[in-house]
Amino acid sequence: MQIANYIENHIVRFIQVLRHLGVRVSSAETVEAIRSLEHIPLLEKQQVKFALRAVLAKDREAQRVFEQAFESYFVPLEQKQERLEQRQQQIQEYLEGLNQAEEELVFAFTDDEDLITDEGQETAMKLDLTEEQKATYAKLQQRERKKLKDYLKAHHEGNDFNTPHNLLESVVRGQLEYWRRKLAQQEQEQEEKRKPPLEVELTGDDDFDEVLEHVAANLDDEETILHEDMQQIADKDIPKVTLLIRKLSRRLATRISRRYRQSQKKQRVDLRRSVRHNIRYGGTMLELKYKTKRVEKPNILLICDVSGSMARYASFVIQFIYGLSSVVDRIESFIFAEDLERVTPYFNSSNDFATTMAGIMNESKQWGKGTNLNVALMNFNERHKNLLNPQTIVVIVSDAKTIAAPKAVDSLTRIKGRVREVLWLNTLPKKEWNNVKNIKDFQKNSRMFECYTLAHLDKILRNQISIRG
Amino acid sequence: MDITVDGLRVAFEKEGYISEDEIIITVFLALQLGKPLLIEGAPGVGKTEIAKVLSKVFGTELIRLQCYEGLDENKALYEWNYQRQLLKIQMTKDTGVGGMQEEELFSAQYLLQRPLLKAIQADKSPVLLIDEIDKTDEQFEAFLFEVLSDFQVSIPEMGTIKAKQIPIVVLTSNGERELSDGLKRRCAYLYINYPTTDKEIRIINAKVPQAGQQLSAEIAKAVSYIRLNTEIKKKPSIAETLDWTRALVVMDADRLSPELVKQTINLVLKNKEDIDIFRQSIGAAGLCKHAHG
Repeated sequence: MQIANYIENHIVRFIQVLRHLGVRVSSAETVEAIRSLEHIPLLEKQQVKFALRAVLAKDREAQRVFEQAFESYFVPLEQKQERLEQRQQQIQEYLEGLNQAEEELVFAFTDDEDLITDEGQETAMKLDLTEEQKATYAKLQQRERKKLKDYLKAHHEGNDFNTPHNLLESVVRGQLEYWRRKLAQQEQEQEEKRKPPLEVELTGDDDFDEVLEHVAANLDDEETILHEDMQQIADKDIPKVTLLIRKLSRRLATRISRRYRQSQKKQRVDLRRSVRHNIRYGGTMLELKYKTKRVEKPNILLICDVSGSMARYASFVIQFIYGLSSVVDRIESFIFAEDLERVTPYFNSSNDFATTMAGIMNESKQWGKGTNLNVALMNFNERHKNLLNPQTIVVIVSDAKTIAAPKAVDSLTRIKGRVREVLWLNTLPKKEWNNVKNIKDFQKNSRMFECYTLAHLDKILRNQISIRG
Repeated sequence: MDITVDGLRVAFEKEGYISEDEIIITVFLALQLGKPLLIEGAPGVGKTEIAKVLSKVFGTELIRLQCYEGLDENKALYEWNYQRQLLKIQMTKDTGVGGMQEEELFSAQYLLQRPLLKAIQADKSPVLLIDEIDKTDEQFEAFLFEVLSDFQVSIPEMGTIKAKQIPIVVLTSNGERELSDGLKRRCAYLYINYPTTDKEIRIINAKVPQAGQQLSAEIAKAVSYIRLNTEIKKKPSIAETLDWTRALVVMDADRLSPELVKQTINLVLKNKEDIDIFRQSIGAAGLCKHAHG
């Protein structure tokens, strides 16, 4: 009994790990996982893995996460202990680093260093730094640390009064911020530390967190790129991204271009055609004819912001749409920054993506300019009004940082009245939306989604661009 | 059901289905837990074949419901034979022989059984293959998982029909769209990838024994290389590998040569665009080099 409970506990804990990693597992599936183990020899690790996977991970993505979670969770006890200790040691080092930063980066009120350590608070005042800034300090080379300390000391020396603390503090913060970015860049270049592909929320339970972190750090590349901020995707990963986008857009394309047929159930009998058809049977209604309803496939209209802050995102979004355009008709694409330009003709030529993109970037006057959504939308209303109809889905890709926002809201309202839907893919994370003025007004006239990773982009387009009959 | 993992493995191999533990254990579990088996994977990796093999292994009927856009309950479950009913009414009216009861018109002889009802009414637990479920719409999917969880069907004119035996249900999907959570929750899940080179060699040996070891190995390597290293739209399926092998056997080949590849590549790649991509990126000579290496 004890052993049975032991196994059940483990399975339940493992399922909790899976849930934390975003795999949806219902209670019924938990019960089934435990039931499934009754049929499998428990000492055969592979067999246990296959059995659990069959009942717990029910799509490819979930299976990929499952693979890694299983390998990280079910390890020999010694290995688990070792990883746990390693993690605790890392946390310890991290905390020590923070402490050290706190102790070393102080305003000293006297030259006498002994006094600082002996009497602490009275003679030294800590700088107000964030945890991240302290962690950055801890990572710095000895030489850089000394520079900062010396700087503080030199500008403070003996000057107990009249010292611009705030100014010094912000200089130090600025320095640390500079180093934080620089170190992050270096790490990325050297690939010493990859950004975890999956953002996991830690639980505070060491046993759990250790597994979660291990899984997050070891998931494979495709996953990483899918969930990475598009702005951060390194140049060397571009070929991989191109392949991935092609795959995603093709999958979406099959969905949109499918020949949908109405189910007979929903149709009404077409009396006229039925009577005419059944005359040959002497008027007996042997074969009924149904009215068929035309299936409406959406027209997609893309308006993509290619201003300075958006250019990187735009290149990915356009690549996605390029993939779609090659299969699905009726996609119109526009780019804008200070004004609007139609780019559909580039997509319709048979050039490959690189050539197409180079063509757009070379000939466009908009790439990398400032943003004026209002001018873009107004011009759209003037010149391309004919593209707007009740089947059209307008997709706007922009971070909503534009001049003349109130006027842009008006123009958007006018567009919205003429189309089926306006989707706004915002490349700012949702938590930052409150900082942008007028974003609420834009939201009233569109359905806004956060969209800064390829996974977002794929999900939104897949779920929102639907076919209706 | 009295089966073991090893027993199932042997039975599958006897039917010529070469598979690894992953597949056998998932199938075994689905059978043991009495759950439908949902199989996903690219076209041509042997999803449908599993259902066929299962029906052979258990010596039972295979009932297939091929899904397509617009498939509805009428086509999947049952339909009244409207024409026959109409004829009967006409005949009764014309001949004036005896009155006709309404119940007569809605009796079993006027009922057209479609695959789901057929599977429920079978005397010996059949294998019900619901093929390419991703081609139907969400409403049909919802209807389906209701049938699959209760295994009973309500026909208003006749009452409820309960399953005599719970069928072995296999659903396949090419992953064209995501299936609903409800359906997935009710199934055991299996994802089948393209086979490894070793597995493909074993498949070739099992299905086309006339091909020598050398040729089988080269073909498997070549096909695997095409799948992994080109950007073709339609990757070669296992069936296409086998067709290619058979063709090469007929041509008396014992090894791949650029000339043979050029003559027969259209058995593996089946549209012009893919063949062009292949020629540009690998070419017949290049492929042979990889296959020989």
